[in-house]
Amino acid sequence: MTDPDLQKSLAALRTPPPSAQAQDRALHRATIALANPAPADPVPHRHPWSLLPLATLGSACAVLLCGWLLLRAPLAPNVPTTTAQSTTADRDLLVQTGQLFPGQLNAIVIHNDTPQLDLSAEATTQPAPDDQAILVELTRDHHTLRILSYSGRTIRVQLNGAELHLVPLLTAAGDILLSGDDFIWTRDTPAQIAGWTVSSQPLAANL
Amino acid sequence: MTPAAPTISPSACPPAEPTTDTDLLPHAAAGCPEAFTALFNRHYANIHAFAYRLCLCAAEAEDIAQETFIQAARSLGTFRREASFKNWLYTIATNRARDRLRQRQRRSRLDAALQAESPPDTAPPSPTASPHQHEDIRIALAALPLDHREAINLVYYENLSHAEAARILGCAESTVSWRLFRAKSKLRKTLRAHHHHD
Repeated sequence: MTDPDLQKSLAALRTPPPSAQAQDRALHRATIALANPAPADPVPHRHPWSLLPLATLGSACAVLLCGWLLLRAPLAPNVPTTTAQSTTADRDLLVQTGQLFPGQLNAIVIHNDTPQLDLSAEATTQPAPDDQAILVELTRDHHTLRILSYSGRTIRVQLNGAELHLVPLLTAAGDILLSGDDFIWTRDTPAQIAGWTVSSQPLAANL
Repeated sequence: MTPAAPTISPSACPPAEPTTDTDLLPHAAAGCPEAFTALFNRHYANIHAFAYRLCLCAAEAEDIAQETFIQAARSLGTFRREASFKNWLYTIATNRARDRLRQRQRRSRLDAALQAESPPDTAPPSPTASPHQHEDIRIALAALPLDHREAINLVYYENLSHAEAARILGCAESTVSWRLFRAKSKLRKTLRAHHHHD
């Protein structure tokens, strides 16, 4: 079922009109409430100097926090290590492999340098537009798992000997959400998945 | 006993010409019943429909719409106008629907109530949708968690952006995108299953 089909189905929901009696009752009660507004939250008057200890404490905490973050920051930023050139190569690999297995390719999973194809048994997946191509990278110790796929596909990967299902989703803003059965990863709320560090990027963004 | 109508000075009320929400709001906040009634008449049907799509029950929708306007009337003085008045009403209605759902869950009657309710007789005929289609989509929507239904309601029915919906729901934009994605997957699955049964 495509998005327009779903919207057509949603449009089939009919909304009953409100009864005139209910509407009159609601207006009457709301008008009474209008005459009895909720009291505004009392805000205690503070002398500007009374905020000084709080401001000093806040500044001190901020300085300490910045120092701690700088000491803890890794030497290399936690971003995908791919260059624009490798991004193009990744996308080409995805497109060309997809043409070899039309409607069957869920993802290409590259463990270190060994690629594996995640294929459906039958040609069931809809062809995805190129601008929906994404790269997800999982790293742990000396292991790197690079996943080339499309937004909205369910990808199966082996992590620590267990099969995990991931669904990457490209948002309208160009960010990627990554979901599993019991987690959601976003760039803003990074979290490790089974001990693996995650990064991601749209493959079409740098073209 | 009917409480006495509030007494308002004539200067608090707006002129008789057609006005916008922005024109009416200061008068309503000052206690002018005419201005408030104009706002009520402008938005009640929309909020009622919004509430119905959240709770999928005609009687509850009337209650939620009523509570929404009662709370709006009480809190007009605190409305900061960072959002539109309509979006502010959506926020209140969403919170009222959540409260009601929590109450219903405590009574463990939600599923039974949703399943037992028959399609309302007063629903207007649609030129494109049959009663059968209406019931299919109503059941499919009822099977969604409320937060998914809220996202579908605001983005698909009210045509708000993900960012606007996020502000109303008090969550991140990415959360709205995610809820929509999950909601659409579930709706597709449920509707496909219905089609297969047919």
